[in-house]
Amino acid sequence: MATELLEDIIRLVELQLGRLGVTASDRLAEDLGAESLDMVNLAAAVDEIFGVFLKESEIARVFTTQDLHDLVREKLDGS
Amino acid sequence: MDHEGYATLIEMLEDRAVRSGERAAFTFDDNEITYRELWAAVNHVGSNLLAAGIEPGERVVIALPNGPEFFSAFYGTQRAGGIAVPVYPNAGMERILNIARLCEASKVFVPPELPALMLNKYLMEAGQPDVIIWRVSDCHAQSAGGDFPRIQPEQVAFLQYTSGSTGEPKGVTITHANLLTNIRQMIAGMGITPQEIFVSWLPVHHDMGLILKTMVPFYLGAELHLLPTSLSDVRPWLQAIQDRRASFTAAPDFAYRLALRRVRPGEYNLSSLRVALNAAEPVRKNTVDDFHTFFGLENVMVAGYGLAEVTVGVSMWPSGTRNKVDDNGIVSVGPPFPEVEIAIISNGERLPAGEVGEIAIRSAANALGYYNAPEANAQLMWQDGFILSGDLGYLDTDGNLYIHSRKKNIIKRSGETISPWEIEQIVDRLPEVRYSAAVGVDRGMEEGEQVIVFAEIRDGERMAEQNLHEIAVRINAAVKTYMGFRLARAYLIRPKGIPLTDNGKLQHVRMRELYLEGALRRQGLILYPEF
Repeated sequence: MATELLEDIIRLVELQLGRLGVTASDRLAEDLGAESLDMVNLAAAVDEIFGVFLKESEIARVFTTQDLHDLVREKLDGS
Repeated sequence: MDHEGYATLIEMLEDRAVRSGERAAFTFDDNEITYRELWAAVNHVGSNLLAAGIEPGERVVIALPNGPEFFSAFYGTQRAGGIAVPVYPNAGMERILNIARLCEASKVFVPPELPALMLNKYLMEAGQPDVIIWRVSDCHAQSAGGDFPRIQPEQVAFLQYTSGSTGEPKGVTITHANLLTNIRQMIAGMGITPQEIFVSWLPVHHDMGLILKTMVPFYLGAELHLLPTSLSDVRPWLQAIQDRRASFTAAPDFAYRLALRRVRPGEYNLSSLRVALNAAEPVRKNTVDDFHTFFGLENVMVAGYGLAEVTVGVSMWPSGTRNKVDDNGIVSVGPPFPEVEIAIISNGERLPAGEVGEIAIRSAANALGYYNAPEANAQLMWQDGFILSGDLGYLDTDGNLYIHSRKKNIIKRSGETISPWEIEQIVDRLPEVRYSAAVGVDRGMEEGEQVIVFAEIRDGERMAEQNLHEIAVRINAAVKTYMGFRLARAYLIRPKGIPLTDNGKLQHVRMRELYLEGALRRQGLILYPEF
């Protein structure tokens, strides 16, 4: 299951940031060029797909694709 | 000379340098630039342009971010008798060169870090091998400094490129007289004094950031602290307001919303603010209320209205007095500035107070029109010197303006006007796309209006999901490369899924409705993605 969720998150990041070949270790801002509004739109998409609301303070701790996956995983497991 | 006497921006800068040369014109990232240094840099670039044979009225594109180099190039061009054409510097080189083509510019100023080889390749590919790429750092000492032409008030100072609902971006021609008129109107209408302290991160390539936030302080000799435009972190902005004891800042609504979400109450002391102007996109009542509550302020955030076609400023709610909000929750943008007249019109007739129609404006700051676009100019002018804004609104019985909605099909993203047409022509280049519709959608969330593209895909129903995914990614990438920003989403649509009129025109409003109502999804018209 964990791999499947990671794949979904990777595809979402690819879609929102217009980049193919994204990996779990890619840093959203430094490697993929995500800007503040891109992060807001990414969080909105996570909410739509997974029904998971990410708080500003939580998004601030997301640096890589893997971090985003871990945060969504944690929220899904906790709910 | 008193500032009342300035007839051109060049006269203004020279006078500041002569009278108060050692004073800071502005700080950028905490580095101080004096009026003497600013004037020297303007002359340095200007003399280089003269030496390169710049013609009177020749357009020079300036694709530079906030910082001292922008001002050197912008005013240096004017000093040499040319017309400055500031453009969004983060856009792709293709878009920047397209603007150069539209205004027939032969020189483009770019930041020093862009590699020359790459630029020359672009020029060849774009079929514009005659365009010369300049960097401010390439300018070298010139002996001939005294041959500058005398600049007249009616000369065009710069072209403000703006997006209409259809066709290529258009350059509003703004003269020195327009600028000085509007600067004076804003100073009077906003109650600005030489003691004002300005803090701004707004982009200087765009009218509000350029005219209100840099020309007004230069005009008055008021303190200005300029920051880079990045909004990935709102803290430097709030920190600068606090540290500099700023009295005047301005931003579009979304930036204030970002600030409210990202800091803790009590983290910043913004009590020095007299005006926090909220303009360039629809003002939300919640933002105004939350801002006051959050920072413990009263009657500081005020709504304003403006457009490039009348130089920039039209109206602002008087700070220090309670905002007026109508029954529909629309925050008033106040009465027009002195010597600015507003008419509300419908079917060619002026409407009485309270009735919604198109906002038309008459002022000595009204621009001559768009550069080299007679058809667009004919549509811009109403009668008796009124310019049609493309916005719908009404005046109350006290003469206060309320902005209702837009008549023009344009998108307002982060305070900038985006043309759906410009995005669609980029997306339509992808071979898999039949045609596309770019729509602005405001979900009422923090991010404000965002751009969503709907693209009909040839044989999309027969494609594997991975292919669809790659097309959606490439659409977003193409927009980012050209426009310099990303879409909120790209939806791939089944053939005939985008509503057209009988004569084949895209129905953007209908498209937005279908999307927001969930009808696209219900009718199975969205091929990808599934959310």
